[in-house]
Amino acid sequence: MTNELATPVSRRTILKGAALGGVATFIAACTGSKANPAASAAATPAASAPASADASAEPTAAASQVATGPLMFANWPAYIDLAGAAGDSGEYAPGSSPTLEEFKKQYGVDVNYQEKIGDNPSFVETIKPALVAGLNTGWDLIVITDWMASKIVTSGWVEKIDHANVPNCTANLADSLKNLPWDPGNDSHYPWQSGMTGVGYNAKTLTENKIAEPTKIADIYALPADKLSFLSEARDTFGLGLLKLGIDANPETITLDDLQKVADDIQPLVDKGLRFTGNEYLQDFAQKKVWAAFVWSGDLASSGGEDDRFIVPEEGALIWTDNMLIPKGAVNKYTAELMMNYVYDPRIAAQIANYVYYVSPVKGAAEEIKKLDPEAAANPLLFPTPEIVAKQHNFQALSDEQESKLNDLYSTLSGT
Amino acid sequence: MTAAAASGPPTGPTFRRRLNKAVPWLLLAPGLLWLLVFYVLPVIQMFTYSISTGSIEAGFTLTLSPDAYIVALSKFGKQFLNSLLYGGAATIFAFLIGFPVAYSIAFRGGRYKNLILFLVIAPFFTSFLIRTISWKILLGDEGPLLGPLKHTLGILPGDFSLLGTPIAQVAGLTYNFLPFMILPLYVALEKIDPRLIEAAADLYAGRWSAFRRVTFPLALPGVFAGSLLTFIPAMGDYINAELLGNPQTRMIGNVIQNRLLVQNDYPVGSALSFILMAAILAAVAIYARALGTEQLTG
Amino acid sequence: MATTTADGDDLALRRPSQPVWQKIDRYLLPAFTVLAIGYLLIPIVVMIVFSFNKPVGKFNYAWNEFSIDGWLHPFDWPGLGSAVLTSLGVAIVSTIIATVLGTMIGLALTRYSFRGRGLLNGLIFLPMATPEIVMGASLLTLFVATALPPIAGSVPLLYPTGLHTIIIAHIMFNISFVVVTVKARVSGFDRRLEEAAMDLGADELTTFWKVTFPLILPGITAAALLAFSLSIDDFVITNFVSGTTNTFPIWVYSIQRNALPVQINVVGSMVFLGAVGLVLVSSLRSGGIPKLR
Repeated sequence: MTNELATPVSRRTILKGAALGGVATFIAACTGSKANPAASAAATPAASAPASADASAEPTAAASQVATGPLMFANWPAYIDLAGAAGDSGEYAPGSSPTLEEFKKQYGVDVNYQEKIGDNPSFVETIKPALVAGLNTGWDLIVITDWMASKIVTSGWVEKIDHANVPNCTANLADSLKNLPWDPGNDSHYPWQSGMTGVGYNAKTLTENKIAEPTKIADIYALPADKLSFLSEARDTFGLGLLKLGIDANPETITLDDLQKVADDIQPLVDKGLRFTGNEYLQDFAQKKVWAAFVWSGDLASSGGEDDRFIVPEEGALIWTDNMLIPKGAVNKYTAELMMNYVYDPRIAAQIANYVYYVSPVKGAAEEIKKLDPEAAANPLLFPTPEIVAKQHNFQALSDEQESKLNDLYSTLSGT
Repeated sequence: MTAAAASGPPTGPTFRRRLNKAVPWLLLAPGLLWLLVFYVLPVIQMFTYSISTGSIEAGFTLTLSPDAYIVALSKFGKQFLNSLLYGGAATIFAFLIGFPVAYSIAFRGGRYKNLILFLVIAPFFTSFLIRTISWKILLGDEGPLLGPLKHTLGILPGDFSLLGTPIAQVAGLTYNFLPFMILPLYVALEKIDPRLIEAAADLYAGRWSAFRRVTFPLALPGVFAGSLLTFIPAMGDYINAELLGNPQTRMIGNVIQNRLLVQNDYPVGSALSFILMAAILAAVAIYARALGTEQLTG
Repeated sequence: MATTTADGDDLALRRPSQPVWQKIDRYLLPAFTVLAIGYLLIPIVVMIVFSFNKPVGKFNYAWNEFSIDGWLHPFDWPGLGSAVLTSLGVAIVSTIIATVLGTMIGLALTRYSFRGRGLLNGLIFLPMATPEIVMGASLLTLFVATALPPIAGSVPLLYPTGLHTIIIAHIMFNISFVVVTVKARVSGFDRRLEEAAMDLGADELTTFWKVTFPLILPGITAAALLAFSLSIDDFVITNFVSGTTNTFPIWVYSIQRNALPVQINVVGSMVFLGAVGLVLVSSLRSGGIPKLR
């Protein structure tokens, strides 16, 4: 049962309930100059060719900026469209990404795309000493999850984005992702993809064991604990834990006691065999080691077995976003901005979303993706309906105190 | 050092003596220098973190306080014990499996010695993750091993599970450190002159007696090296616990990982590391003494 | 006169050889070894088998259907090819250098006595005992510090981090392993062989290369193999000091967060089969390795 309707509706909730459903088709595919932000509907693929010419036109407004390269772009793996199919067609080399190849061709600059980010702390820890010392980290563009991104931005470790260079972003960013407390004007970041954390289970295994399919988070707490797994991302586990207890997973309203309650709720499960995993749950599902788990939507959407199901529980689900940032000292800042602008072209955004199977932050992508894959367009995990959006909570940006408590509680639970 | 020798290259007993004295240092210098700059220096800095307060972002102030050590020792006793237990178990199993293998290769390998030895280490050129995933496939609840045992033969209960247990963790540790045990053992065994064993047989020693009193003592440097090359890294391992264990079986490596990466708590993280290193050094010293100091000094 | 063995057993009763131990020696031991090597190779077999899989979705966890797609497109992933090449290159270079440095240290520690030898013997174990994350994080801080005043980049190749810093780090942690392995071979080395050579007129350098070196070569080779496998599979330290360069273990660790492509199995299989093939060919061509006695 959802609680958020009973609580005072925050500004964030209102924004969340807005256009993330992907219905804003009246935004242009590619905007021309700043003076013309809204164009007519139904951006066609044909329009994108001259439109990209438009997109390349806007940077010249800002004097003598030249796209330098190679663009050092660090991202999570499998987070951009890959050319397996395109490679077969001979158009692009195997292993290359159509998006990146088209970018390279259009701007005449090379892109050094490294899938080096495995998890936020491991990656950020490798660039932190350089950032603290004020040195160039070597990267021009990185993609970091909300909670870590907010810390980096607050610490002043990013370059400010020149809005003149990113008209697509300004125009096409989904409304629910605007005006975030840690970067209200989008001076420092633009979202790459969003994802949901919810409950996943293997329908066949549950049927075999005569267990009803869960609809609430509380349902899976009742399963044998050694057939369950929660996430090693503490925020995700505790966020869902809060929702299960009927507490709104909103960092601005929770107390440290609330976190303690979640830990106390989970501890008995840990004692009986609960484990915390990353996305090994997919393998565990396949091997029937785990019957249900806290999962990330993209995984099950794109690669679960046919019996793996993802649900947005009744109590609610979590939403998180991975964001593009330009670290301080980046050598090719302008090129990075061009890339940000480029991926906010709905056609490109659709191209990426069609492979990655996460939630695109770009308005108009839903329309574009219908041309590539109508099934994808109808998939609520990619384009959540307003009902789902209403149940999404963002439990990412915690205060230092909350984070410290969270980490302590989690490390006690996980035995480290 | 007579003036008469000044015209040619330096010779003479004193020079030779000086050269001989210098040789060990000349041999040591490059490697030692490398370790000094790229290991000792950074680790000393880590040590200063353990007696400071602060963080990478905010900077550290050297307060010389032992707080970090107190926290480290009081809070994580269980994980230290786990490391000792599982690391020790893995070493023993690796020895029990590895010694016969090294013995076979050394004494029975013939012309294919190098090939078989290579087969022992080649699996470890592939990624650790792939090996672990392969094991997880094999040891899965309904996998090729447990499936038949549980259902066809009915030996094990239906809800028996290997993954997420200490058994899986120790098995993973043993497997991943087996070459570290086999290679030094092989190296020491291969050196043994078989004529010594023949001589023992000529003196009417039985096979086991010959082994116990000739072969094994001669192989001790290898046993020493192999056990240390296995035990020491196994104590600090974290990945086997992470992928194959559960919250109760975490080792000290997992704690250090968590402190440094997630909690950004460098003082306690470094304190834990230094306690671990001190414990290992102590264990090595005791072990060396037990085996006889010749093993330590060669 | 009754003769007894050293154990005090009556000689006459002991003379027939002991069949139990003979059986163990002849049958059990080889069987055990074959099983043990099989055990070592099982995951590799699984890996090779699954490289012929066509997974459902992005994760290669469960067998779906046979396909050689992975082998036809082995590097069909951005950055995979260069990551593999980088790993191989780093492994080869760091192995060579670490083996040389470590062998020299091993020789010095076992054959010469000098002040501080005992201490050094103990300290050599320290790098092995240090958690990798500690070595990695502190090494990175060191490299960053070289870019700041007072050094301010006057020592080249240390910042920005990249290929060279990976090699530096790998050499660092490999040295200890090489030393320990080489010592297992060099200790107890019979100096009289060297003395005999010198009596026959060889100078010290010739003695080393013609007598000592061949005899300790198995130890050096084993150490090199160990160092190579440590380097090619290192993740934690490499992650810290690699900057914008990617290596195969980092790539594998990162990718498994979102996908587990068949390519991992294919590349792993290629490395394994390639390495074994090389050794097989060389050992067949030379008619087997001559026994070094």
